[in-house]
Amino acid sequence: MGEFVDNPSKKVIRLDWCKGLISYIHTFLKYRFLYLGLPGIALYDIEAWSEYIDQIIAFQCRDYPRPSSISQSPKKVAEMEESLKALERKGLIKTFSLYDGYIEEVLLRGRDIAGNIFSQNDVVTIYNLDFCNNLTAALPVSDDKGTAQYVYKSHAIKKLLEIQRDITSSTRPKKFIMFLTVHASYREKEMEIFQKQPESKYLLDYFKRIQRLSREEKQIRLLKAYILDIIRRYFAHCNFSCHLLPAIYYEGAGGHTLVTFTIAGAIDTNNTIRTYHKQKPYEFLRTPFLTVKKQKLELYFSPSVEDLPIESLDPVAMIKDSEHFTRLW
Amino acid sequence: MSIKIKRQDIGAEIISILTKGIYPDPRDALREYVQNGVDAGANNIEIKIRTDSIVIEDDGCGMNKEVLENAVRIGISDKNPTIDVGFRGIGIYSSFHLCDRLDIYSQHQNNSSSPHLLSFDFHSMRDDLGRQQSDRLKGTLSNDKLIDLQTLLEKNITLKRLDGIDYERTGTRVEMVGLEPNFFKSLSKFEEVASYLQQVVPLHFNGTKFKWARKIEDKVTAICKQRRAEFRLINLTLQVHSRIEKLFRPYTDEQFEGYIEPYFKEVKGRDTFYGVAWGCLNPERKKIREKALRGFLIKKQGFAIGERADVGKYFGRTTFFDRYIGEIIVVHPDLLPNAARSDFEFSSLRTLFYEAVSNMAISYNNRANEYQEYTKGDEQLDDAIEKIKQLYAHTSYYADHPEQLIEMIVEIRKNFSQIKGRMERNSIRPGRMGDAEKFLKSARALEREIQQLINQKSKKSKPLKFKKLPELRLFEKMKKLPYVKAMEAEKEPGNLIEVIESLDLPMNEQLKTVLELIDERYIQASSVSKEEYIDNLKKLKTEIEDLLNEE
Repeated sequence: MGEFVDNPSKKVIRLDWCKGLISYIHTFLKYRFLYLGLPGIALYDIEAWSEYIDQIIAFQCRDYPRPSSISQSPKKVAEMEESLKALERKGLIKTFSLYDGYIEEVLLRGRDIAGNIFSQNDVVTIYNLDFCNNLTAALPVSDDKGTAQYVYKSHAIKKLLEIQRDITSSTRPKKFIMFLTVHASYREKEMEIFQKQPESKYLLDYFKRIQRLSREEKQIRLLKAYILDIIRRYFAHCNFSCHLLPAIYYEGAGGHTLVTFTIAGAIDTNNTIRTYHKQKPYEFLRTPFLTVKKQKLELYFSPSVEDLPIESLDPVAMIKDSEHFTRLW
Repeated sequence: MSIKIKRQDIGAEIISILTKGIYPDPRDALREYVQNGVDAGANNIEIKIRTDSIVIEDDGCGMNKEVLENAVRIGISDKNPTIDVGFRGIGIYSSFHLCDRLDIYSQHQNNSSSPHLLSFDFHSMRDDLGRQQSDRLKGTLSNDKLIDLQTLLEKNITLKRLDGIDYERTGTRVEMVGLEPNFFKSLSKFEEVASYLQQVVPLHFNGTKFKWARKIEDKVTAICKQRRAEFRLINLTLQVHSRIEKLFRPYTDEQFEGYIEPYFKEVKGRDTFYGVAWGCLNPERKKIREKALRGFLIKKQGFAIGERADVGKYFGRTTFFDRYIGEIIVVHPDLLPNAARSDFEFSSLRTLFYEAVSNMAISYNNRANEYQEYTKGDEQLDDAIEKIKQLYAHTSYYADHPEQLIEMIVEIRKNFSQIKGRMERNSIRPGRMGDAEKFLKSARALEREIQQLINQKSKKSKPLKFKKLPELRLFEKMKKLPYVKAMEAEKEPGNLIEVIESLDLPMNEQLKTVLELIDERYIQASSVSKEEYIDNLKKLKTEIEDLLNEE
């Protein structure tokens, strides 16, 4: 986060994958979006998608990867504010708000380190959570009451969904896309428990299938299963149904390997007591990874773990064909 | 012989002194820049408060290079005092102590001209002045070396042409960058900023929360139009971080205990029209709920002049003033606000204006008095009807108790004379005169019946004989009495302090201790039961209210 540098693969994903999807959703929903995320000072994503975005809620830490402190220089936050203001001046976006600190600490505390109270005034349509660093340790955060705890990036996702669920003032439907990028080596405490104690048969089978793979191949599949698990749990906890498009595994800046997940979310008004995801977990697990090669999206060579065919690499076609989309959007 | 003034004769320190004195509240800077937007004919203005900057953007006519060049002047303005709200040529410096840099982007409505950026480096200006002050204290700087105003401004103000792409929209965008942390704390609280702006900026009324919004806007607009004056309103959106809300005038139905049509009054002298006032009276004889909204606020071109409390003195006593929410919309072109917007500039016209305000106040006082006298009459009549019905119901129980019957007669007479007195003073509203007549007849009849019971009892010779039982005889009369809707129970006071607090009388800890003592020694001591104690408190409250009303 924050130190993120643009690279050709990122650019392909931004323009050939995300932008197409955002454009389609924009045509479908017929309004400009509220974007929430970690755009980075260069604002590459925002500039690429600005025609669909009205408002931005952004987070910027001061001194990555050190825990936030008021004694650190707010230079990067000021730089980010300046970049966003330039977009606003040009009329590319209508407005923005910027929070000073790590997303997980701002959401947990309810305010940023400068003391600004976090609030979300409308339904977010695009979440862009670029947790593309190799941070594996939890961040020590004390809330306003002084309760100290360690928080992981994944906690931020849960909190964001809770806020989205509780928004009542908007006339916008609760339908959104979440782009979640994590380092391929991403680990957190809950992930280890998840790996050791799989809660379902399909996970047990899946872990057996990936057992024989190389360490790196195994890790990205473990990550894929873990992200699927937390996304399904967190979304259901907030009455949202989710659908995951194929994960993209690629080499980002500085040789770091990254995985980008694309999740469509919508409130399931038909089932108010319990939310059912239309997508079966194994459908996603057995869908191959995509990757970026020679500045093009393509199927990642899969060592026979993923066996469901992908007919098109067009995310719009994929989402349109999903039961989630046809029934809930 | 005239004296020649050199550039060194006007010291740079003047800018700091002036802005500190005129704009003591950091929110005043917001008002000043909003005011510029209004003068530029903007319909929509946005204020965005963020971590390190504040942006105020309007869709007015914008400024071209010449206008921007002139905008930096101090005490000289191109604006017309009779039309524009700001005209003193100082407002642009209102954020001098608030931020490090002030950037003004502007694109004139004439698209053939390019947008421009006017930049003020306030941080550098303050640094220069600070260094100068410190050197003077040390005695290392002589007076002839002091920075003059012109040099300071020339060194720290720049104007540059922009590519259209950098700022394309017609209008002006003011950016205050590098906020002074102490000011920022108060500016980052949405409610505080919103409540300030709601009072001082020409906002629309809230049509969904205030029943009379439309009526007031339409009526004031019509009167102003008729008088060839302008009643300008703008759409203002306030954003503090992610909280974004459209602001309206702060008036809502919640401030009143019911609805009563707003009252409009032209504020005028013999030949002069100053403006128009509107006022909404609380139908109940109570103060407006929110203290900050009680009374009338003077507004010139939508911007507040002074505070509500300043107008109170023209009402003589504040009893009725506090029961109104209203505004005095001043449109007279020659009544000019002072720089701090705390009053109009001193002039004979101002004196005449306040005389007109006094007359207007009499009118509002009379109306409140008249209306609320009726309300009080309604309350008394309802109470009397209820009482008489209650006494009627109890008559048969006390048939064998002459003392109780005598007490009942006393009670009937008391209520009778109260209502009769009101009828004679015309303080029962015409629509309820019939009810009052019925009450008098019923009260008379009941008194006669009770009197007969007492007479019968005192003779003791014969047992009581009725052609009809009293309740049957009186039944028809009582049935004719109007149904009195039970009034919403007012919260019972728990002690003397609560009584005083409910009346909004000033209170401090010392007084509280004294009141507690009086309560314990006298009021509690003279009450035999809790019910009686509460009853005594209620009576006391009514007496104090009446006393305050009579002041």
